[in-house]
Amino acid sequence: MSNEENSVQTPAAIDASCRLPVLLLLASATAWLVTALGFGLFASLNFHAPGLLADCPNLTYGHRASVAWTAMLFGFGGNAALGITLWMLARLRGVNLRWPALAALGAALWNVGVTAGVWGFLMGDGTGHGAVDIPLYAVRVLILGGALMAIPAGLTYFARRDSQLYVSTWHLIGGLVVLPWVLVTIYLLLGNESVRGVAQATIAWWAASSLTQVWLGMVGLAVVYYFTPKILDCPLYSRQLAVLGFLGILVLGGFLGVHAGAPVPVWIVRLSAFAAVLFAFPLFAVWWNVRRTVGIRPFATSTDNTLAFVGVAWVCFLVAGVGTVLHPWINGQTHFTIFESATRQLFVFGFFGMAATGAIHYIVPRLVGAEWCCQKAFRRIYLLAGAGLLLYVVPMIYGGIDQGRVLNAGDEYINLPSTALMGMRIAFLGELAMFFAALGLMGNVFWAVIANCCEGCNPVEIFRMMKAAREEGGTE
Amino acid sequence: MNKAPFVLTATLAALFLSWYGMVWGPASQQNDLRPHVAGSTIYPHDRTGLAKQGAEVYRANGCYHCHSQQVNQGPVEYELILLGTGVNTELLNSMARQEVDPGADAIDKVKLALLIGGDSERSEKREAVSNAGLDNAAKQEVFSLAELPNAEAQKEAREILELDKSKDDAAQSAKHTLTLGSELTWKEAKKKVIALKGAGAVVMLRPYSPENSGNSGAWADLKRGWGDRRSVARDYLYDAPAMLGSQRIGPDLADIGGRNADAAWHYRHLYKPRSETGREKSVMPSYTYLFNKRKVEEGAKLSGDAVLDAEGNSIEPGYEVTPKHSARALVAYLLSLKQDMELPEAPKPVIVSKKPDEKTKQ
Repeated sequence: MSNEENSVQTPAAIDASCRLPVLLLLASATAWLVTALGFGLFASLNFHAPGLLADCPNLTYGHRASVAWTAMLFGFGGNAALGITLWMLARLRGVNLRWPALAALGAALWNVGVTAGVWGFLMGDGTGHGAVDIPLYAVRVLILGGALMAIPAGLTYFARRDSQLYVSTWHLIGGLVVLPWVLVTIYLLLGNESVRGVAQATIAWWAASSLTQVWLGMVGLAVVYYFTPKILDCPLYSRQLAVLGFLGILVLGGFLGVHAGAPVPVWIVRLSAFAAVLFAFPLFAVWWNVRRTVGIRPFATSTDNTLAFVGVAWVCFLVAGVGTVLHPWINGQTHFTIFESATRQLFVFGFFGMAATGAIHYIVPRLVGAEWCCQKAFRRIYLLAGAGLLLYVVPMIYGGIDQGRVLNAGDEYINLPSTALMGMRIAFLGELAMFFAALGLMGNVFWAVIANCCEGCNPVEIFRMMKAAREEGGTE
Repeated sequence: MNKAPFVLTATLAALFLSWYGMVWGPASQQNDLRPHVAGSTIYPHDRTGLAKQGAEVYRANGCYHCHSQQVNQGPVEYELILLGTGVNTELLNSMARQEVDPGADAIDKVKLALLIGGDSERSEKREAVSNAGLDNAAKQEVFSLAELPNAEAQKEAREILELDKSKDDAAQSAKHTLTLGSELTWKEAKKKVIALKGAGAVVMLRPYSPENSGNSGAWADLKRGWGDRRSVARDYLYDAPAMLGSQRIGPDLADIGGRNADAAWHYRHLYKPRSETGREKSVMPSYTYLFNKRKVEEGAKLSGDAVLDAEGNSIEPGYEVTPKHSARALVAYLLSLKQDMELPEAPKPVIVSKKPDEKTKQ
């Protein structure tokens, strides 16, 4: 490695170095978000028309629900998290992304893996392990793709030894370590006969919690810590608080979410409840740190779209976090209900999704070298996504609490109670709004990429040239 | 947190904690778990044949998205009851050491029962009884608790206690016992039972029925009849994958085979979930693709395994609907879902009356 490479690069040079892999990842992320929300809508249709597609063995509710979640977690979450990680690592270390072609290959493989997983679900190959039921052959491809991206990320991370590590860097590295660890554990242990009975369930809980709370949580917080001070041009309030939040989430994240009545040895339940209570510390750290850095007002009043998305993400993180801390007290009423779907969506779409959208809004124009063709579109995406999120989460929480009340009353339980069903019907509108927001995001990203790619293959340019040629021909 | 390798190491160490707690710990603990053997019955056992294939159908169709397979239950509380005092004073010593602390009133009764069951002089016993100044019910209790080896001793004890001979039969049938503690957790109860048995006393542990317990929500599953007891780790020993589920869009299926063993009903339900009264609003999808459908003449005889409605007519008028292999497998699996065996870690919490343990009585 030459000295020249080690010296600080200009942002423009860094952006140029990670153009191919990061654009590939971020663009696929938006496409997977549309797929995930689309399949989510498609699955929810069953609650309005339960007889739907009864003759189609590949599209049962179960298949659709699995596809929706996997496309959300690995398709959208995975692509967006990895794209943000590669770009932000290079920027924070002030060096060009190493081996971008390898990263691009990894990105392509990652998408092959997610596609294989989705296809596998439709063929009935889901493994049945709760939220991490993605087929193991798809996990194998994901591990390979992830490894190919981790090598350039690691080389970039270690490229310089002299500089101070910014808070976001730790979070990105945390995310980069969690991901392979969880994927390898899923691959080796969940397909293994020596892991018996409910141990499979606890591993699946750990894996799901580590992927959402820790992996997506780490990358989402890296985005919050990176963009908030950058856009508002003020230093982060406290590194110490950030350390508390970082280590707290890393240590506690995997333990979260076991409910009180679970048929597992009771120490697991107690440990999980204990971790949930301790989660108040990292939650407080994140809240106070961002609060003291910028206050609340800039999020609401700033005209910067990235900041607006990041603000929503931060609020969703806090609300979902309060739910996590209260889990030991409320899970008797909320477990097994649609309340859980609401809080999951609040974290994955509300927190991570919004943070990632903010990041995409900032990163993509810099990579393609041109502004968004229409800034207003992002205000609409922002409003649509926010409204959709509210319209989804609030009725689902309300319906879930009532469902829990009915479940706890001990009477006969055959159908979803009408309040829960009504909650789901209203939430369907929310899903619809989120779907259109995702569609808008995908359209904008794809347009930015297509309209600004190299001259020879740019369809916009070709279209313009053709039109001009035709007009010329017409006038002659 | 400024050195790149340090951050990496800290991350690895932090992650190891939850991995060890939630992955390694449970996996190695479950590895040591064995089936419960009671006489000639072994529970649980691996599914075989059709039921095993059915588990695959259940998994492949993602049924676990809407159905849980775990019966919840609140913590069982125990009542500790003294049936006999034994013949030595070790019980009193044990109470003095406060291993069991039933209160002064009960200790007096135990003292008296030990005295009457013992070898002391008749006059001494008589004096103690008169000093105690017990009412009739308390005297009955003392009589029941005392270890009286034969009818002669019983007669003598009755005379000393001045118990009415005519009430003998009633006294015999309603055995008077002494409650040494209630609302005990299993851990507390176990400790006390070991201490009491060591002292030669005869005791009985009584798990509380759900009706007697405070937290009603935790008992809802049992009240509803979704099972006889809570689900525990051992129930899933041979499940791969263990599909515990996280949602109850539909009912819990942990004990569906015990609750509803009617295969014909399950076929009907899978084919037309909304055909039954009370289920018109069910949101369960129909699984018609699991069945063959053939047009038949009206009034023609249907084959033996045709799916019928509750009145015995074909579920689809004008057609003969028969289950495919996958439907048979799925129903076999559903019927195999039973958590009916009482386990040491999961007693069926209804009021039971156990006979005193013969061994401790000697």
